[in-house]
Amino acid sequence: MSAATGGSCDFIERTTRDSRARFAKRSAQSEPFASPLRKTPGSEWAIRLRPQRAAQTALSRPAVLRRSFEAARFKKRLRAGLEGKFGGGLCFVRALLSSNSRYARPVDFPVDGAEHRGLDTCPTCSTTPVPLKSLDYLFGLATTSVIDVLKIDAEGADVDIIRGAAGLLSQGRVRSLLFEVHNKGSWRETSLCSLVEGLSVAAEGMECFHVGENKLLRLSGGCCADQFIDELRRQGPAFRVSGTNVFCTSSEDLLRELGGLTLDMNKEATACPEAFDPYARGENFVRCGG
Amino acid sequence: MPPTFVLLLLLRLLLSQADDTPTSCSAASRYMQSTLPVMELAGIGVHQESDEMWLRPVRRAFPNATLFVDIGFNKGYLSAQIAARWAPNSHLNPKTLYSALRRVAGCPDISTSTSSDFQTHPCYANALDLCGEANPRCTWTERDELIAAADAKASPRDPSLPSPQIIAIDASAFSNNLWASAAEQLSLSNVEVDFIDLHRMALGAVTGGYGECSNGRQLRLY
Repeated sequence: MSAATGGSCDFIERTTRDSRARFAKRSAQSEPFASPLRKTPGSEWAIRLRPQRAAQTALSRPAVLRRSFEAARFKKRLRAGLEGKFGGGLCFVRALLSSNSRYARPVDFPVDGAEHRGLDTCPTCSTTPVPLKSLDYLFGLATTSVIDVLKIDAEGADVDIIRGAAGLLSQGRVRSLLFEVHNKGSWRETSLCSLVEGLSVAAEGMECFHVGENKLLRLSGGCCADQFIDELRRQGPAFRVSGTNVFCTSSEDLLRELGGLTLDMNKEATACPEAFDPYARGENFVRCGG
Repeated sequence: MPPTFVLLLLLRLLLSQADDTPTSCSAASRYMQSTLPVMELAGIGVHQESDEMWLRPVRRAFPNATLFVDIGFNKGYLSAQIAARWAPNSHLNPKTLYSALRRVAGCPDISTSTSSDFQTHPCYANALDLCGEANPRCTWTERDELIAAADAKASPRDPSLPSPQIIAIDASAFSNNLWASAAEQLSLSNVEVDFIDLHRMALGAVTGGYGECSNGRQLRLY
């Protein structure tokens, strides 16, 4: 489970700090683009800014002092332990995830909040080098934390991100996984069925399901059809979808819960209860509860 | 014959060949995936954002979950649903989040908000464009409350455990800016937030407690 002891991001910060030196060494050896590691300290603000503006910003702000001051305030607030506080909290990580942490990509994501931007779906993005990260890198294979729910919605880069979590998956450190199947990005050259079968091998016993609005449809165990992505491309617009979600887990408890929601190919629909029962689950809840 | 009728006929034919094991794989299952209309007719419901379908079972099976990773966080509506289910004391849910985002629809340093400013300013929160009242992802109704309470009662969380931690990952700085403003000024003040920018961390600059606008202005968070 999470080992957060300080700020919400301490967990990430610790593991990333430990592997930063290794990352720097690898990047210097194999990075095809100009490494941001070689930039001068004053230009750190230039990552997403015009150089002139960035230089002014860096000069006018005592950044290091301010950071220390703010960090101290933050820790003081944590110590106060306000009642009812969402203590675990939210850690925002700005990172560009993919299958590896080796290369800097010449992509800078927009800051206008537009969704539907992925690695190869952002033609208007500038060409500032941004380092890629993998989930294995981010969470550190040396730690033992277990991710209870891993949700990926990366506009076509989902497959790459899952590949970058192979270490975590094989160590059983991802209890459940939700990702989006698209007709764009890496999905153009990826077989959904191979990924599903790969997941069941990498994360022992992991089973995957299509997530519909009313039902789940099992994909693992040879139930998957690769025509789905083509069909998504053809018919998706008619259904106002560009992708659908796939949910995977290897937890027996969760698989039991999912059983009631999964389309049973042989079962006749049961009658709805007269009154809506909020404790009901499974198909009766979905079909009758709404 | 109309195409729908043909599809139904085919589905029935294939269903009759399905084996006896519940939820097992069959030719019909594979056939369905190759035609979205059939998936729809079979009652699966083709949908892009069916959060409830998987979040409810997860809440029931993992009441003591402590680590969530939300990649492609964007506005954070999924994280808000997670918080509402696993950390109800946070008072963070899609509705409070939507309300907060509406109120910060622009960085605090924007004093004028003409239409063109809103559309071109890098700190503009386009929550209003992407998420309206009619979007179920932005609402948290009494029914949702009831369902969450029912799930919590069916699978109570161990009170001795710490609150869950959500790690929200996005390539854009937009979410950070938006949440920074929301957490600082508004009703999300009961949620601990922290920020780390791995784009910059590669340079050796570890940030904490900051949101940042693309115009170089930093927002004070704590």
